[in-house]
Amino acid sequence: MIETRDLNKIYRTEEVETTALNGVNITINDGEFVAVMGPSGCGKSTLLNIMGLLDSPTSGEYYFMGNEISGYTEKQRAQLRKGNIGFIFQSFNLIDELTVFENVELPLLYLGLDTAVRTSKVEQTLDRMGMIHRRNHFPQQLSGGQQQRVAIARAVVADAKLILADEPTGNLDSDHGDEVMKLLTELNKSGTTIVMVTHSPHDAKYAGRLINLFDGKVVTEGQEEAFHV
Amino acid sequence: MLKNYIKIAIRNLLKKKGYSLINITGLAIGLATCILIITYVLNERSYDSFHDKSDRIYRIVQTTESADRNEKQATTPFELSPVIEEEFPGSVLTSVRFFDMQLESHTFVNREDGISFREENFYFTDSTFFDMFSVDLIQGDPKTALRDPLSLVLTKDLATKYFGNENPIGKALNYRGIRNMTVTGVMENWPETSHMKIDLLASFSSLDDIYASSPDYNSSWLWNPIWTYVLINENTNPAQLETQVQGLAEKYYYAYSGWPEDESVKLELQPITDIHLHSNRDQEMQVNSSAIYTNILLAVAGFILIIACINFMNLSTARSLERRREVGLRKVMGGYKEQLIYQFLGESFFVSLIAIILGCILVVLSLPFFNELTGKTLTFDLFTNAYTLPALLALTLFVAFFSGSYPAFFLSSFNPVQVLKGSGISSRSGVLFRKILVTFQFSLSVLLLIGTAVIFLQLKFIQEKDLGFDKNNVLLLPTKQNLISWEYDSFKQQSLSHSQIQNITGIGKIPGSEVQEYYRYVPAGTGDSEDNTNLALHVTHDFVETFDLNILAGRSFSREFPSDPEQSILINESMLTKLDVTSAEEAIGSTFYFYPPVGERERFNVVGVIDDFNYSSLKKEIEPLVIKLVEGTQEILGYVVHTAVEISPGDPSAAIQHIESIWKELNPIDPFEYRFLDERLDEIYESEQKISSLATVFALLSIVIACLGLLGLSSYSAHLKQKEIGIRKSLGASVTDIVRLLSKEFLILVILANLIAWPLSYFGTLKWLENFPYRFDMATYLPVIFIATGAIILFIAMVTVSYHSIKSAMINPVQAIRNE
Repeated sequence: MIETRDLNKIYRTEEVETTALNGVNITINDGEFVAVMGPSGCGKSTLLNIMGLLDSPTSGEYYFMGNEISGYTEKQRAQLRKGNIGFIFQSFNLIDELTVFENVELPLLYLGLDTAVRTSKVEQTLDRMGMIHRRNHFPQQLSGGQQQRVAIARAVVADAKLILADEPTGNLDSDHGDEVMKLLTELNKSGTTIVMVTHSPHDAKYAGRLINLFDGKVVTEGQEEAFHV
Repeated sequence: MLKNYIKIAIRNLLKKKGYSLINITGLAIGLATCILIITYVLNERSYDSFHDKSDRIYRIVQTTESADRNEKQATTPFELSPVIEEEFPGSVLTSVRFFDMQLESHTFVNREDGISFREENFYFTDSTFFDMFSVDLIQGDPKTALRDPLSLVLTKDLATKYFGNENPIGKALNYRGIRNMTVTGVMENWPETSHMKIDLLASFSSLDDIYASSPDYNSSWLWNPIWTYVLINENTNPAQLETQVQGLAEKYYYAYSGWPEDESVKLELQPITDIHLHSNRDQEMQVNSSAIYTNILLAVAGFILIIACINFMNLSTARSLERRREVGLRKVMGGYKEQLIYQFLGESFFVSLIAIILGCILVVLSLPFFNELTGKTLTFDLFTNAYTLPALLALTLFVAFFSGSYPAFFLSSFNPVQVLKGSGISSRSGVLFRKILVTFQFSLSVLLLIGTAVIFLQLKFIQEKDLGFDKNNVLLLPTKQNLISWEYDSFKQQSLSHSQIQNITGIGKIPGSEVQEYYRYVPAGTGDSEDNTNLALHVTHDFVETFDLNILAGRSFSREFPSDPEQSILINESMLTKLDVTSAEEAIGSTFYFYPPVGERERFNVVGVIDDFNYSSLKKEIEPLVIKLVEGTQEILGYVVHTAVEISPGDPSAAIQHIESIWKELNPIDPFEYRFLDERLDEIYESEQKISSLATVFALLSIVIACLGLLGLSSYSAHLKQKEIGIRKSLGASVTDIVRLLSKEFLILVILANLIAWPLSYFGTLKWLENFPYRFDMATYLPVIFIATGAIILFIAMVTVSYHSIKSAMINPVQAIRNE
């Protein structure tokens, strides 16, 4: 699914140069659930953004589903992203002006699907997330856990092969957090590849593999079944 | 997807009702103003295009030039029309003349019913009238209606006025007590969108009958009282025809005996559709408008629309922060930048569409008021004109694109990684651009306000300027060649018996308004010849007294000197430059010669020198002038057009009643009518007056719209700075400090806007004032105007901004910090 070779990302401002990623080599296979950990500023989010085709590396190679994409234009990356990658954010990032149904429907609109197809997919997904009864509510009318479930629904509605989650439980209490983690685990079991950035060792235990980043470098990597609860 | 866009657009509008209201109201007012002005300008530009053959109808005008003057006239001699038809049979299909006997009004009487009126819109015209002009004849035959002598065609309204519901055909109206004319046709009312106003038309052949005693009345090439129109062949090139017509000068004008040797004539063809906006000659049928004013108005419309669009741009970019998450998400989900641009442009179109619908409603509501202001009867109807709807759609698209493109590009360029993290895009983004726009907006407002003030001051100056004569409390009576002229002395004596009536004089032209005429009065000595001419005013006794003219030297005309009518003239101060004298006293006794068309020259002596006064409008400068006394019925019939009556200040009604009773006794034919001189003079500046009141309204509107934008922007800025305000307050800042902090940035922009607008308005003012030889004192007033408009706008802006500044400064700091 994902392979990086000697991936570097350097941010430059007028005065300072910050190295966010420094020679990162990672391979993630189809169907894996990988947790990325590390202290603040170690490059976790940068790595996730590059994996999600939202950002491009300064140097190095990035293979996504077999395509070398470091030379892709913004439009090409958007094209590849559509339907293949789903995102889950710490702050949910639902659009306040759209209802639950409309928020989930959004990725399908960009894929250009018919109304009937869209409706059935959105309803199925909401049902799976246990949110179908809230379909006409606006995000502000939901609890944090509910909002994140809507966000997960939005990430998977287009049958994404890869889900990138950036601290998905960061804004949730532990009960709601566990609920979200269980949903992600279920998704993984049904074949979706998941890469999750987290601060929480508890959440990381749900993953099949752990990657530790420090100062932009991979420090440890392991197939840690032992983490599983 | 479209549904999704519309949903988002509507929900965003509803979510921030305040901003949406400001955005849409501002745009709606701007669009309404634009529509009104465009309707007005289109109406002005459509003049005379209702004629089917309007593209082939031309008016022939002449300009006579000699060494020291240049007279542009709208009229030509009688014979030009038949000569042109005869000389250019292939190019000129037909020609039509108009003649008004050089009278301001004409009395018509229905003898049977004893109804009489004065008609201002009456002309003698050729029988070819209906071949050239497109007006429907309701009754009568267009081929013959104006053929026979003493035939009369009237408009529908006039027919009702004189004959009620009776069929007017075959009935008679008496013309000025001299001839009975028979109604041969009734036509539709003459459209308002014409440089002519026509209520009655008499056959041109009537003139042969009326002037039967002087059969060569129409043979002179020196007398040019005729408006001449030609209809040219489809294949004729008008420029070429103009060159050919110029050839007539040599053959007819210069060949005419008595044509001054040093005078040349230039003949020009004016397209009939150009006359209303592009012709400002002497002896126009009506006071025309000017393209300068329609262009000024169009510029104003553009300014106001831009100001409204800028509001839109500013508020949308300012609010973009709230939609950055949406933009980021849409991009994450695979939305292309172009798709986002389309989305935001679409939203802008949606808002513009709402605004234009509101704008149209505003137009309908304000049209009666606008019509009153402009003196027009404009209508606004979406469906009668096939161009209206597409034009409105085009306007909507323009506004949507103009005001929506920057926000669209700005928003769609957000980096999703940054906006979704909630960092990166600072509240400072787009700030410089917004500042530039606000400055630009206010510069336009200042420009409009200064322009309005300048027009207002110049008009006030003109109206209050000392013309050199007293225009107040003077009554004007039309007395040309009517029965009063025959009984002039009796009329004068009886009128003067009333204690309020101080002086009465007969005049050829109204002082302060009309173009005076040149006559061959020449100072003796300095190369006097019959080819030289000077302006001459023909007046009866007591002219100087009636208008309170100032005598610099010598005396006024007096009955104590019975030879005055034959031997004496007065001159004005400017004439001194044409004499070889150093003072006014020295000019007394100077000799002038008058060269009549036939016979020996006559000798006159200067008996008095009058201080210069504005005998013509303030649009013309004062030239050397001769004042000649006329006396006796023959001369009065020949020269006196109006009688001026000076009434002592106070309620004039008793004096007017007194004159009316005498008038009715001496002149049972003409209805008694009068005007006050000062009112008559105000009419000259009608188009300036109109533009002045329009400009005032629009300048105020522009400020309202700009302030609406400022209100929105300042509220937004206050909202963004809540955290800063909280921190500053917790560190001990007072409410005043906070208000100052928030207001300062906007006020600096407004001051900057003033500084930009000042030089621009200075040059604009100079350019406009070039049209006036007499201008208000710019050196004194311009700085005052500049500073005053600056202060007014600054004050309004301050009030606008401080509303939100004070509101946010009063907020509890804890709450402010937490909100962020």
